Amino acid sequence: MEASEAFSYYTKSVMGYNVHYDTVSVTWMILLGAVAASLVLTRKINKVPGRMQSVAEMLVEYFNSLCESMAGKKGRRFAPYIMSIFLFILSCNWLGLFPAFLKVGHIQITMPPTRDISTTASLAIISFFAFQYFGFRDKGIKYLLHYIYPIPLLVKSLPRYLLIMIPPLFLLFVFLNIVEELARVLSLTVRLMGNILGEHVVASSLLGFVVILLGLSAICAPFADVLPIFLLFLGLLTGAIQAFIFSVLTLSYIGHAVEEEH
Amino acid sequence: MRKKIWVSCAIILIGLMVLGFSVQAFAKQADKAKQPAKITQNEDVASKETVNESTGTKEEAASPAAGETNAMDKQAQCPMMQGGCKGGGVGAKGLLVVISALAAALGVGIATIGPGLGQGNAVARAMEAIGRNPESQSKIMPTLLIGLAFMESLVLYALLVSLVLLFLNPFIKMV
Repeated sequence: MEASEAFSYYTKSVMGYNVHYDTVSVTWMILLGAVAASLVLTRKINKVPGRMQSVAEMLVEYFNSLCESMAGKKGRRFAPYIMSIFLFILSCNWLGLFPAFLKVGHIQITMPPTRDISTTASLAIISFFAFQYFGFRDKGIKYLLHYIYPIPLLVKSLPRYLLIMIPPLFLLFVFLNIVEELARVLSLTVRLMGNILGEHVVASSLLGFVVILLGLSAICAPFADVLPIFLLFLGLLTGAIQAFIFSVLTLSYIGHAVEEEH
Repeated sequence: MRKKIWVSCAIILIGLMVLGFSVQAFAKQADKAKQPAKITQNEDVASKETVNESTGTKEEAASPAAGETNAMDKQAQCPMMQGGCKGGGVGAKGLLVVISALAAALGVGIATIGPGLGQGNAVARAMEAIGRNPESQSKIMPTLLIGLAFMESLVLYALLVSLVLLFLNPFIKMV
């Protein structure tokens, strides 16, 4: 349990690209687990729900109401995508809290795949394509007016003789809006990766210190047992909050892309 | 209509992947072709150095300050070390490592000042609002958390730069 191990990946080159084997294997594990869980949960759906079904219904209803409040009246159609992102990131982040450093061959299983920037970047890029897709689907080609955002407002309010001043501002606003779009993607990835990676590195370093403490003397043992509890608590909180924030921000940006009243 | 959109998106994606693959393969092949040129470049640099040394020795007799040209001479002999081959030069690589470590440590440290103040301010106002109206807690909490995450990400940008400097330093290969 060392800090250097928390920051290194088991890489192999596949067809010229360096692939992080441990990230990819853990991601596939989580995907298979999600598919299995969904199959099990939807086996028998009763009108009077049992325990697990009512928990699932609570979650679905919470996300439906959240989507409706943040993305307008027809916001419920985004709920599947938002909830999938939330559950995927949540299970990814919480997987890194298992205390055992289990290794299958060279691949470490109990590590959060979101500490790798490839995972978070792919999620953010998928969200980027989601913004464009939902925008074009709802508004058609008029979604491109989004990239010159303040100008339609100016056109309505200015008198005729000042309208000549708008064309120079065209390029500026297009540039600004594109940069804002890219900054959103960058901030989504770096926020998630930084939080989870920082947590992982700090936890690994402190737990390595615990091993030293245990080796020193018997008096240090109680203090050594208490530390992982704090780390677990912090990890649970951080993981849940970051997953929630990623999904809610994606929802907010989709709502911004889809809204009618500019 | 929806099927047409899916088909066109799939075609665009596959086209982009093929394009990226071919560009990357072309770049790799160009890289391999470039390597013999590097060796000839080194030879050119060596010939320039000998020319400089000969001009340095000619100027030594003419210039009044002999110490200056001696230093220039030493520098020309060992261009990577600062202060000549002998005599305790730090070396450009050592200097780079030291400054990278210092920058990485100071970067994150200074970057936590602003967001720390901002987050404290945000939580204080949220507490005040909840205290004034305890029923609105379920509406204030998610907004508070989103605001805190925005401020947290500013620190993470600095952390990213620090991690790159410590573990994936791109300047070490140049020196």
